[in-house]
Amino acid sequence: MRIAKYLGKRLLTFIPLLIGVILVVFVLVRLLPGDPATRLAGNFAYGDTIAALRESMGLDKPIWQQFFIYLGNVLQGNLGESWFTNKPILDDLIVRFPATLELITLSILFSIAIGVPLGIVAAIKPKSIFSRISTGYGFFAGSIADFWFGLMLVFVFFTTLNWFPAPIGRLDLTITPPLQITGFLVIDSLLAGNWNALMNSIAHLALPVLTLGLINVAPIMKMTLSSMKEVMESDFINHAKVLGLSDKKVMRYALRNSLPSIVTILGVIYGSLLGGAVLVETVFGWGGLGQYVTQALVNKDYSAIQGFVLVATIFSLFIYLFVDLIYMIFDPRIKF
Amino acid sequence: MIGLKTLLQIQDLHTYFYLRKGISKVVNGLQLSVREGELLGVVGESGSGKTVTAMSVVNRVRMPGKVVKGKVIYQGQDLLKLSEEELRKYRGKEIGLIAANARGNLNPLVKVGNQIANVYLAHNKVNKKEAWEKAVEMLRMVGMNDALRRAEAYPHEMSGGMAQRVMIALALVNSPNLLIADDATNGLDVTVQSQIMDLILDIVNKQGASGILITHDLGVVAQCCSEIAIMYCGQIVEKGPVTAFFDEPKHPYSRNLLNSLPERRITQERIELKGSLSSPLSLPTGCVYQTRCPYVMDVCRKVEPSMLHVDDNYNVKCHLYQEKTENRGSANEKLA
Ligand SMILES: Nc1ncnc2c1ncn2[C@@H]1O[C@H](COP(=O)(O)OP(=O)(O)O)[C@@H](O)[C@H]1O
Ligand SMILES: [Mg+2]
Repeated sequence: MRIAKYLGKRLLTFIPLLIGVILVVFVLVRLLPGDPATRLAGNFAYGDTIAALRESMGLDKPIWQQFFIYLGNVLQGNLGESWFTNKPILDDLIVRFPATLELITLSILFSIAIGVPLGIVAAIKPKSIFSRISTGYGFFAGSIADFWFGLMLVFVFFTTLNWFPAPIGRLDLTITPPLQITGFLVIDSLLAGNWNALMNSIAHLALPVLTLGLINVAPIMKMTLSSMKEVMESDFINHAKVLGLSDKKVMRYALRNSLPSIVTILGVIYGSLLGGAVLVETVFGWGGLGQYVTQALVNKDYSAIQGFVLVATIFSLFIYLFVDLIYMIFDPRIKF
Repeated sequence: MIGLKTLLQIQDLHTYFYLRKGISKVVNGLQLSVREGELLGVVGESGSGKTVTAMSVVNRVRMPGKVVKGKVIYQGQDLLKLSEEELRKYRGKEIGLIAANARGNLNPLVKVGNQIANVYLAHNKVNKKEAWEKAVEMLRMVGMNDALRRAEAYPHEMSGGMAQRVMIALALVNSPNLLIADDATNGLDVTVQSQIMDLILDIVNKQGASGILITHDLGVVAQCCSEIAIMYCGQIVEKGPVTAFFDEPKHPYSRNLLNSLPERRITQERIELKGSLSSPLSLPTGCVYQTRCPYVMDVCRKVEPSMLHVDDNYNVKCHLYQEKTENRGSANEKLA
């Protein structure tokens, strides 16, 4: 019951937040250089054609009026239509969402599997060579651009070694995709018993997952290290040593007590990946949300850009909410 | 009750903190010994180095602090010569330490029953269930009515007094031979304070352990302890039997302490004297008390007094008694 009340309260706070985000994005896209009507009409269109187009696109109205019309639509669950594909934007987003979700979920799992243990080791044995290497790696990975890293991987493992398929999409064209159930190709192929699709989708996932995963190892490792360190310097860890607890037990205390903050940083990174994978998706022709919004930006497809930002924001908000719920489980001091 | 055998002997202990602004000499050649079955009260102003001394005994001074010199001989073994792993057998087993600030020293995310059980497990070959039962028994022993339910609680769910009882249970779960209570009742209600004090005394008596009672409260020492040691700037400046001390304190600092109590009545008030301790960053050469001493002599500014044996089991670190031992009578005239 208390949880329901807490959730209700949290969800209510989403509303003003989302309206704010919608407003800001609405204004920002209109500050982009270039006019969508001109772009849609093509280079050789007459002024009359463009004016008529502007009217049908609703761009002739004052901006505040456009905003309230858009907001009204959004509140009814209508994100508008793409000016270029003429399809409802919500449909476009829903089709592309699983591709991105699969990519970022596997990436974050990869980063966690590497970053958290590295951070723990670095905290426990700060002087070991191993921990120095991982700190150095954290520094390196934290300072390079993800798309550049992706391109390098493509160059080495596809262009040069040809170990992985071409960076175009999630499956080879020759492979029949499995029936869509979860939208995660790996899971759907497994469910369908489609081994070709399974192997092929994994091969396609490998490089982009490696790209995003290795990049995000750095912040995850650093945060794990710093929260472990902070806990290990706390009074209760010192007192545990004064009472003669074994190193193993002390480490377990330290890990247990850094868990809430580690989970939080994982949530923050995961929540930001949906929008953050845009360039990597483009490098790998992923056909997910990131690529969709890149196209929309090129086309000045206002509603599509706005729709994407809205979805990405909602995704983050729900991840943060979920993380807060987990935090409460890990920390008995926090009550709903 | 009190045997003749020495249980703990601290010799020429020096503990320094290496700070950016310089070396903070918090403990400076401290000498102290505790006999078996003895309850020693250690009294000193806040900042005189009592906590750091307690931590030095189990060689667990926190960074950037370090024991740089001296011996802590426990039952013939110099603890400062032991490795961490060897020391672990003494910490929490031979020597139990009750710290002030139970809130900070208890792990906030672990049930108190488990915390006590872990300390028991660290030093006994028992299974988890037995350790848990021991924990519940300990909680009962420190005066918790519904010990079973309390064992399941987290520290934040307890009052300050209850949490302090948990600290006592942690220190006593392995029946240590030496109990160090460092300001164990600090910050508690007066009634709770005396309950906790009674509890500690009761347990020490029952277990036949020795104890070091570190406190601000001369009254507690007068009531409970057999011996008293006065601490100033990281040194013991006077030590002797309680009765002799309260009859006639020797060191000018001790006299000042007692005179600061209204009509020499011993109250529960904190010690507050005019002037302040010398900073451990810039201790004067010679006697540490020279800056406040009304009887300061030339020699006090040049030569550090040694611990003088003035009576049976009675020691004082003051030049006035140097003269006395050489030229009996004159010191008392001066002090009169
Ligand atoms: N971690 C630390 N870093 C620097 N100085 C410290 C640290 N811990 C204690 N000290 C210094 O040691 C001195 C004595 O501290 P403490 O032993 O806590 O005094 P007491 O327990 O007698 O009140 C103080 O001057 C304090 O500033
Ligand atoms: Mg203290």
